[in-house]
Amino acid sequence: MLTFVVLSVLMIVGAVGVITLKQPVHAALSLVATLLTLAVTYVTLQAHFLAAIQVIVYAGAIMVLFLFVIMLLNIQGDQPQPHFRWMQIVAYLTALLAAGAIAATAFLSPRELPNAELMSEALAGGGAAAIGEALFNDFVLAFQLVGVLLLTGIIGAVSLVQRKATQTAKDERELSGV
Amino acid sequence: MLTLNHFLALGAILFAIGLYGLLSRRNLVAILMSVEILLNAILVNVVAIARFNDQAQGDVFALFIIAIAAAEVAVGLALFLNVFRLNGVATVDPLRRMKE
Amino acid sequence: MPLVLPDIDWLTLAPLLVLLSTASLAALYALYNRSSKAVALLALLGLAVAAIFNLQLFVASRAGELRSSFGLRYLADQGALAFNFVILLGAALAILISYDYLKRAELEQPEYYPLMLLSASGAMVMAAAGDLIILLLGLEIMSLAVYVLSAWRQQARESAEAGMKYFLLGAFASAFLIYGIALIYGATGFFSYPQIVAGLLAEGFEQIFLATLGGIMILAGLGFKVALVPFHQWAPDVYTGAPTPVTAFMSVVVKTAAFAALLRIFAFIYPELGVLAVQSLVVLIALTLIVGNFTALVQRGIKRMLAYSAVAHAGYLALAVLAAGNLGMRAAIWYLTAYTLMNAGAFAVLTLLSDRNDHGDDLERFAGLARSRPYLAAAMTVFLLSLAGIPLLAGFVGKILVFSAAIEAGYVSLTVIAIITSVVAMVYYLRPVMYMYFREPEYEPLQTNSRSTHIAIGIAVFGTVLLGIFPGWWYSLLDLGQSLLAGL
Repeated sequence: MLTFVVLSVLMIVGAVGVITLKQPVHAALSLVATLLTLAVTYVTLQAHFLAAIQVIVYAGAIMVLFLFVIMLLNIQGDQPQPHFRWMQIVAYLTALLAAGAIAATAFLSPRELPNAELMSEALAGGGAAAIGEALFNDFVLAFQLVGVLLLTGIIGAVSLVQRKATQTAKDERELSGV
Repeated sequence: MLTLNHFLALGAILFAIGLYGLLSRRNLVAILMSVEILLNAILVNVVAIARFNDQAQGDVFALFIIAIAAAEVAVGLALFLNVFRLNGVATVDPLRRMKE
Repeated sequence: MPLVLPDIDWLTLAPLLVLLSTASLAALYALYNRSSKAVALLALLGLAVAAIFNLQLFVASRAGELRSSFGLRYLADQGALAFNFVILLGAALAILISYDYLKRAELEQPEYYPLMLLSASGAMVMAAAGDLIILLLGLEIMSLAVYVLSAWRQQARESAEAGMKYFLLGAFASAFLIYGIALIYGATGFFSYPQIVAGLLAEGFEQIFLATLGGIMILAGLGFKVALVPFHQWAPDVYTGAPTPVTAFMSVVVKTAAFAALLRIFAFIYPELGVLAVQSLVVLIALTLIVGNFTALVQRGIKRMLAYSAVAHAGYLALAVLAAGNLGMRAAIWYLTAYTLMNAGAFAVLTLLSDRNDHGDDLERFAGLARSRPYLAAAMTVFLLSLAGIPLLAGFVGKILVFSAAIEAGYVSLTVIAIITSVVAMVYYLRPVMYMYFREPEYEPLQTNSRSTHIAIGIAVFGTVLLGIFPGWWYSLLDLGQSLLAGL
């Protein structure tokens, strides 16, 4: 129960950070915090495979895409932000709270390492094997359609961005009078 | 005692925060991130339901949601680049102008 | 649980697979050959082959055979197959309109056609889905492609912003849809329609509140796609900002697919969810009919007027959804066929009248068109009169069918609202006609001509008139005496 409360508080604080912080980079990092806390929540729910996917795909790949765009375009915040001293204090406090929370979850709900048999039982529903079985028995069509979806995303994104490149090249040719 | 309702409530709170962000932020990248919060709010629900029912179906659904999020982000950021190159600003203000 | 091979019925999947493989082939071909003519022809060929397979399936299903794949998750019942015809028709018309238009606007990029095919295949998946996850994935495939297509005119702000706006609101709507699906899953533990219904009807089921909330959220998500008020705010801006052929595609194919999905879940799941879910649709329809029609009245731009008219038509179609059952289903399919022809036709005429930047669609441009371009004016008149619901044209028959289905289902007062608002609608549909025939020209009309667009207009005029004068044949094809939706 305590674990849940701590994790949800962290998650909510992170989410509030995303929607209130002025600088997009700060908001993105705040989102990373939410996503990672969510991954920990999955672990408490015994959904280990999903927790791994959440970290690798969501907090990893998707967030890198976000940060990449933010850095690439050097996007500024909504308005120039004076550097407040108290903001720093709040930031430190949040970090301390987070560290304390992680320590608390680690020590306050000690769980003995189960033997291998129990462990495999615990992993039954949320482990990779169970998910794989469901995926390739009940959701084959959906699995294929996700492939189509990603293909659509790729063709769409590439054709949007690539066209700009050809257009720019054309403009430059025209400018140089060729 | 931790029940499913706790997780559903957490999901609802996160969803509300995401909604607020989507509606109140002016920065387009922040709006895109709010969409991610919405999807994660749903993920909390789905995974919790799956575990409490002890079914792998829900986990698979969560996997699909993550895939959908990835595809959406790719297209969303490409569209955003498009708008940013034309307007030079990352806010929704030019989009609001269309209404007139 | 051992791995069992899923039951795959290739014929059921054939129309979808043909579209998908044509799209992949076209995308690959476009890498080496940038001529969009070959890609456009390939896309049309793919649509034709898919239609042939669909016809074969349709004949089989009329013989009483129910085909499905992946354990009732992908259905080929009569309803889905009829919707497939409408989707293929809409996509073919949109491609025909696009070809010369893209050339004129210097937007020739062969990736356009694969994206349109992918979008159409997503639409077909939605029509055939027997499972909420399949429905969601179909919707996402369809939408992602359309987001990109509406931003296709990259050098124009309106188009880029239309794409962004559509994407943001679309992502918002699909979040609602996913939340709804999650709640229904939470309540019943299942995703496929028959299992959900079984779960809802099971002894000792107590999560009805959760399920109803989920149902309402799914309604909101799909209501966004068909632009029901108050989820319609994106429609005018996106319809105006997107390239006109894409607007045509959006207004017919996306709407058809979303209504196909809505009809199916409304017929299966909603009756078990209690009155609240149904009542919320009633409120949405009343709002849609009133707001859509009255806002269309004050528009000066034809494209914007057609956008609000599309909102209003979503209201009429939703009446058929409310009437669920076979009668409503038949009426909805019939109406969508007519709507696809007349709306795509009207947008096709617009592409020939506006300049290469899509400007110049205001009412004044239509003045005196009957003298300078008589055939185009006549075609536009046919489409507008049909949209208005004048007898002897397809739109009229569609409205009669929908209204009688709604009355049969007991929604008399809502039907009265619909009839009154469709009388109001005559005003804004007839105004351009008056301008075309009874006003002196104020501008020199553009003399744009395009063979492929003319073909599309020809098909649309022919279809609108044919369905208007002989409404019986398509309607009787949809009649089997048994349910259009498998398992209903």
